[in-house]
Amino acid sequence: MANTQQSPPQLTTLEELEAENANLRVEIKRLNRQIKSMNFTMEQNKNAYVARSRVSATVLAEKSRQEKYLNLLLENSPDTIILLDRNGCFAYCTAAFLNLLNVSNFGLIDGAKFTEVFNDFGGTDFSKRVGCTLKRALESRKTIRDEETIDVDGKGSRRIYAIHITPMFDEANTFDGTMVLFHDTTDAVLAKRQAEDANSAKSRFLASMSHEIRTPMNAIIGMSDLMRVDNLDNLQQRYFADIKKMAKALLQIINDILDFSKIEAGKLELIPADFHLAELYDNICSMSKFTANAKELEFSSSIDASLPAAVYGDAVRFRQIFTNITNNAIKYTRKGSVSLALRRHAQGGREYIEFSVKDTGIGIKQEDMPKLFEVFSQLDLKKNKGIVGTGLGLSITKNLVSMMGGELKVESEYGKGSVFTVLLPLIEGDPDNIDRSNELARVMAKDDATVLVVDDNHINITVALGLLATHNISGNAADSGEQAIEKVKGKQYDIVFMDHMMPGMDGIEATKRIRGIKGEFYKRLPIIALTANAVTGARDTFIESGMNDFISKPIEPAQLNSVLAKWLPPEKIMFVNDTVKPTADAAQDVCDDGAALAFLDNAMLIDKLETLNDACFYGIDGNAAKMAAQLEDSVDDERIGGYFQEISRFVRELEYEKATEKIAEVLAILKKEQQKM
Amino acid sequence: MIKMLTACTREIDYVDAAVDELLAQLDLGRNQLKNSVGIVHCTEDFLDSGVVKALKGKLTFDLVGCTSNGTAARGEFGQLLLTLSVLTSDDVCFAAGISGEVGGDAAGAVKELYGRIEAELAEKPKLLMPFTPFSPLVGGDEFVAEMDKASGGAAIFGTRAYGTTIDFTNFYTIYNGQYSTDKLVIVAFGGNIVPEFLVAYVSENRVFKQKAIITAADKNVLHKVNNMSAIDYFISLGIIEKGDMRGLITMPVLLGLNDGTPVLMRTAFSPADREGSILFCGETPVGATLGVAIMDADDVVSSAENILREALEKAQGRSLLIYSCAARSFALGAESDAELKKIVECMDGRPESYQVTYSGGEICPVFNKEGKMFNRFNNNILIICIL
Repeated sequence: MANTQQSPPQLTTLEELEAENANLRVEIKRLNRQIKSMNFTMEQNKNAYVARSRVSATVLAEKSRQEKYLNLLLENSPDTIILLDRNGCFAYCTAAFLNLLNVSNFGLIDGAKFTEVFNDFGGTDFSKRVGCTLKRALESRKTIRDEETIDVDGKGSRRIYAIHITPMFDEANTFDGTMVLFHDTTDAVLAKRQAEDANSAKSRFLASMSHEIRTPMNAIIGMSDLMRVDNLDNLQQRYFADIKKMAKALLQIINDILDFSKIEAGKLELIPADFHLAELYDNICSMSKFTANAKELEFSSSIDASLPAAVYGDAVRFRQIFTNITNNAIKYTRKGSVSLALRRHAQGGREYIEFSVKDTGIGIKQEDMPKLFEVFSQLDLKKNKGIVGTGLGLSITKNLVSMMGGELKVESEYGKGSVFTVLLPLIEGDPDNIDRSNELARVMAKDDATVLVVDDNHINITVALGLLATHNISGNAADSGEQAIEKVKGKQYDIVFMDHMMPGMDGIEATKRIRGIKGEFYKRLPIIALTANAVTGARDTFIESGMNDFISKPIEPAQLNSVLAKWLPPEKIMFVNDTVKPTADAAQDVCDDGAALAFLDNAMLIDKLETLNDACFYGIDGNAAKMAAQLEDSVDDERIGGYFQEISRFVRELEYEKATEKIAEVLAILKKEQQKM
Repeated sequence: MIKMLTACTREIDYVDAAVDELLAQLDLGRNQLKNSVGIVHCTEDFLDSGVVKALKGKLTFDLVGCTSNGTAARGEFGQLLLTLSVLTSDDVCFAAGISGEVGGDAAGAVKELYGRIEAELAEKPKLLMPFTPFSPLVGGDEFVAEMDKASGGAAIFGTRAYGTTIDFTNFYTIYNGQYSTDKLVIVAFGGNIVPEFLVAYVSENRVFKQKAIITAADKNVLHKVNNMSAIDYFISLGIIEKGDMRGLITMPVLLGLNDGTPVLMRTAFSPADREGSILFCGETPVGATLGVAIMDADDVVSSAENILREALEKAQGRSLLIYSCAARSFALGAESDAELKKIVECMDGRPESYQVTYSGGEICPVFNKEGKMFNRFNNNILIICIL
């Protein structure tokens, strides 16, 4: 058999052998290099493999740990979290939702359309609403928040849920499903409602207290203003003056307490308007000078001429701040001086009104400084024994200054004196906008002005009618909302003064009903709120209910004058150049012509008698006497003329009870005749 | 303007054949311009066999470079390959030199060498290209800091020597046929050169979310992280085990310096002592935030491709010098040439010349948000210089 294998070439020479050897050595080197390279690569691979294995194990462990925590988080979450896939089918939900549904396992709702599940959960309407919200969320590509009240167990235990619906998008920004979060806000909502109720209760308390306290104060101060003093001896006049002074002091204390309560409840409101700063300051200086001089203290004041004439701010509170600080200085200074200064001050890029009061009083110890503005506290009680005060003034002042964005500073040296400095933001006002209504000349009504006073408190009616009498107004009275409506229907009044808080139908309800009476007249009839409710928002409440204006009790004569000037028909009033004298005497000054009335028909007679009745009932002497005399002279009817003579006599003798009895008798006759007609 | 001529050979044993092959590819007679310098990368086999020395004998210009575990140029790639790029120009000048034995004195070595090459260049260099030794005594950061100081802030782009020995020995720098494990080689560039630099980092989504603070370190030695020993920290992450640090070398460590500069990348090298410290390939400053990433073959190849495409948009025909950290090749597994292969593929048909080499440490300028330049020594990144 032929040998097919090729045999290696025969190396016959040494050179050939050496060459072959060299080649083989090169080949061996190459192979060794290859092996070395492979070893190197394998070693690298081993490292890389170990790294990859460890990392994979670590990543898996970490993933598992995260999943575990995520599951714990979701399973223990009190909120319901639902994931819907892009078809709106359930992909996941927390155990909280399963519990609400009373479903034991997610598998039972996995893949179910959300409408099916939500129909069971909150009803079909709820399901539809959620569907609409889902749609809105998807269209806006944002989370939409909604609120639902759901009867979760079907037994009426309704819970309030905040629902957040969030569309989810993948890395390619394609819609990938929705997350629905139900957060039970029932407790928070209830707590909020309770807080709001508590707040309302506070407001109602304040309103009530304001009313309860101011109502009798209105009577005391009003009647003392109306009372004649020319028939009193000197001692009685002095006693009377003290009563009036203490009544006003008591009113100030009550106002302070109410202000403090309002501040505590966050109900104190600033009512800024344009006002004359120098006039206000002058007024305070005048009063303070008088008080200081009474204590034999020197008094001085100065005002920076560069301050604008008109500023914008709450004049009442400005006055309150300036007065509090000044009165304190005078109160705590036994000898020496008190000086006031009003300046312009720039600080931090802003302009301020700087009001400072410097005294040579007892001063304040440094350790007492922090207590200076605490409520109900008076410093150095031993030294200040005998100095009265509620301890609220400075606290109220500080709060007011703070509300206005100002600053209150005190420098003091014990035994030497103090300087109180108030900085209030300076906002220039418009002099043309200043309300000068309290500087009006006195309004006097002509005889045909008709006014109705509505108040459930007879003393308040007496005070109001008495004050109206000083403007020559014989007012009618009604002591309830229902009576007010009847009277308004029966007579076209020029103004109605309506008390706010009355039992049964209150002033607001009565006003709404009056506005609802058919006829343009009732829509235009000026109805003025007469209220002891001086809390924030009261004014807005009155205006919104249909009232035109309001004045607060105790009635300030100047404010009443201003309201009458504004709301009485111009043709029924005249102005008298006189200071507003809140006494019954003033009623005698003007329009007391005593002339006989023109011919009176039955209706007019009834009207006049009813007015006279009110004047007698409420003891408005001047009006009663005048009207009784006029009626006696005017009525020439044999049937009833005798009645008027008797009525007139009783009124002259101040026997109002008998007068009103007679008035009732003649009214009965006239009304019977009226009915027959 | 710099022209780059490239050549490569796989011939190690037949020196003359290797040199002839290289020279034939270069065709220096036709292509060489006024000033030239050659950059050579290869395994130590080419040094031992005498190919590099023989090559220098045929060249009229300096020949610098270092060993590596992989290189590519001219469409060829691989471990047992020598690549040569000759940078030649009429308006850019080059000055190259080699230091004495560095030992532990980087400052002295740099100062002396820089002084010589600056004098030779006769102007302040615009660019320094160092080839630093893989020294256990002097880290890459130190060399960079000294060169930065000596040059007054010239851009520094270069590499640290690497190789194919598993015990990290026999990594050589090369200068004109000489080669050393402890000498610094620098080429300085002067004249009309405006180089551009790009850096490829690990992708953010490959970084573990755990972040820590370096609480104790001494240059390249990381002592404590979050007040626990470095080794204990990495054990707590689950990426090494007690007594077995394998794998950590393949995982990029990211250091945030909180100074507006890009992240500093590092490679953990080996345990440094019995107290749980770890030797890193570069400094690990105290107070830096520390994060760990994982890179796989896809990450390495895709990051290389992305940065290369970005470079080519800027290059517009200019030449590219590319260094990629050897640690990136570890992540390639069995396909250890995958990154080089991808680069070669991307460059196929392109007018730009290129030379890409695996590196034992990448030296490249980085920029903060305000555009201020910082010369930096990094690991685990790929750097490109557009010449």
